[in-house]
Amino acid sequence: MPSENAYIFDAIRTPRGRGRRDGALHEFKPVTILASLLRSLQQRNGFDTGAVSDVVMGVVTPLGEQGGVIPKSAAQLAGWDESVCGLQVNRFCASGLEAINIAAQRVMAGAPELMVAGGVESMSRVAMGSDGGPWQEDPETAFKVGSVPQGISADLIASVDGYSRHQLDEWAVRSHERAAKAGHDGAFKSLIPFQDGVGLPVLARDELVRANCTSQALAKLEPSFVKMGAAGFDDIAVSRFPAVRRVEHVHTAGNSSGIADGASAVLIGSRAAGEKQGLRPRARIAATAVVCTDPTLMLTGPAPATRKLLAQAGLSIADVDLFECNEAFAVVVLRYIKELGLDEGRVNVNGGAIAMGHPLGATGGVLVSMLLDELERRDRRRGVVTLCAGGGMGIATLIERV
Amino acid sequence: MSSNAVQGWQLTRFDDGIVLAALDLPGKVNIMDDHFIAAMESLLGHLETARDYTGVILTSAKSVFLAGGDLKRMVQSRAGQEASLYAYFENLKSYLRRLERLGRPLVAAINGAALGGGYETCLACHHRIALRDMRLRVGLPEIEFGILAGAGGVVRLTRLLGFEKAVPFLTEGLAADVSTALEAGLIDDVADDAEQLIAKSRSWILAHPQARQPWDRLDNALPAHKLDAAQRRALLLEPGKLTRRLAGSPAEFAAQRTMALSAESLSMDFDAALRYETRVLIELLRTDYARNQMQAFLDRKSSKPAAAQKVAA
Repeated sequence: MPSENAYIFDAIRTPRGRGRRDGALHEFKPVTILASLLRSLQQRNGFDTGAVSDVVMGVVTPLGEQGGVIPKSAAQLAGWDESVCGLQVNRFCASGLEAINIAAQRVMAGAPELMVAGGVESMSRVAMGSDGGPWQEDPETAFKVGSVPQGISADLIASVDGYSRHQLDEWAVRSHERAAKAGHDGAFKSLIPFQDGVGLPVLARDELVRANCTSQALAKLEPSFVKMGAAGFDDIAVSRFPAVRRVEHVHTAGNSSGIADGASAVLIGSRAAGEKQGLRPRARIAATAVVCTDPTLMLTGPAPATRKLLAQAGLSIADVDLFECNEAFAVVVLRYIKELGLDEGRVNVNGGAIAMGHPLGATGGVLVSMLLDELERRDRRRGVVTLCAGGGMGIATLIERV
Repeated sequence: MSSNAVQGWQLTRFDDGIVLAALDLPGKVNIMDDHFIAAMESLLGHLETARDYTGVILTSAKSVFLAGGDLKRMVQSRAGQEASLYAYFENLKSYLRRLERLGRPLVAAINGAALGGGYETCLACHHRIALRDMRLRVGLPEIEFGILAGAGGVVRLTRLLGFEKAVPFLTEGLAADVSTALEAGLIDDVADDAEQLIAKSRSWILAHPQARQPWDRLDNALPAHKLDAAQRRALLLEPGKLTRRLAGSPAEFAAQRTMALSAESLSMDFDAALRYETRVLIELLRTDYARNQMQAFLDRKSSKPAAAQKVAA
């Protein structure tokens, strides 16, 4: 057990906007989106910003207006005390949760501090992949590693495990249905409607959700990664997993996560630091874990990360009430459920990134806020948040209400 | 050549299918007021249904091409009116957007001063030709009123010239004479007299049947991380220059917001940038400085005839 508990005092998020030129949040630069959320966090909780030691934020494409330690810039733009530090974290899709884990670990190590952690990503303004990197733009690395784009990995997993297009589409429909119902039922307590600089409403709900999504409609979508596979990546995938003979291209825009804009912010700290500001803990971060798995399958990290997490905490699957497994692609969740033998009624109960979008760096914090909302609504105790990430990485965090 | 009546305009149609639309609003000067909105509604209603023309020349039937926005309306802006102001400006801006997307070449034949809203209307044309006239001025002087060129002026000029070249015109409100305007790229050509103005406009239209705005390409945004070194340097240095020029001035805030908008507008889609421009305009309209500047201008204007009468007496 850690010497000190890391508490979550609050966890909020912006609505997720369509991450395209016609998306509702596209007008707003990422530092504005994040600063606006930081101001909301302060207003909801009334703490002195000078009591916050650090703002740790995941950003997956930290370039241009999204670059240069944006958490620090956002704290300044929000008018927070000059003593507040900023840290930008990148672990691909795991960035937001990694930021939260870093803050929690610092508290567990004895720092008597308040911190804000989460993430921000405007995918409509800074396109995914525009930062390049060795996998994308260094042939030597490509030859040696045999890396393939994530969409190919998703299709490869489906081919290895034998998931059909229909099964994936069914999960996607469920994601939309659950998200629509949760939104309708007011389950998203932590969603802060986004306003512009003069107070006009801009977006009050997750923009991508389609309540009337059907598997018939999804079945008509073209698979997204056929061309990419034909360009040579299918051959690389098959050479690493010869048993599959060929990669079935079963992922589409409909059963993959949506491109989105958004931010998340979680207020974390020691009990004493919270008490000084009159804050009541909503939960504690009981454990954190990262793992790395096969780089070509790439997206299979969540199950081993969850196992490692629960082993650390001395718990079993049965001790966990709810799971949030990021819906990067439908196959990620289906495999997670199967690998851990989960009841799918306990996984992504309010929908996921297929319905609401995956604003890369922000998603970890988004999932923490959704999980905490739902644990409170059901009056349950424990939940796990997990995401797959580039290179085969997986990350998991155990949340326990107090 | 034939003529027909569309409210607020004198329309002439040439044999080559080019429509000459001369703005002729009630009152001495064309202003971007409710008459302008009505005139645009009727002109666009006409042009969007009659598809039998090859291009349009926009000009003025009065000595001033088109003066600025409806200050009398804007000066009444108060906190709490954000939603109605937003709707008002989005509607006003929609006419210029429809104009530049008629699918026919559109030339501004600038035969008189085109400042503020007047020049913003010119920016919604595909090509700008001005009459060589010592007194003719074009530009976006909104900053004098503590506001910004919110009918697309900031967004269009920034996309037309680039951030570093647009900034002086936006934050200093320079009213450029014809040769300065030509050199800076605010206008594309100059004509010696009214006849040549129309002749040049007609030949440009005939030579550019496919004309369309550069910002109507799908990939019209230029994300900050894709700017070249000189552009990024401008983003670094211009804020400091502005502060040096305006520190402590009551106009500083408006100039800051205008420069920020200009910079940000490039990183997003054109239509999104137009909406964002409206939001920043409303932010400025709510300031005391803007209201005082606009009111002082209106007071000066309304006292002018009285002063002239006094002198005459």
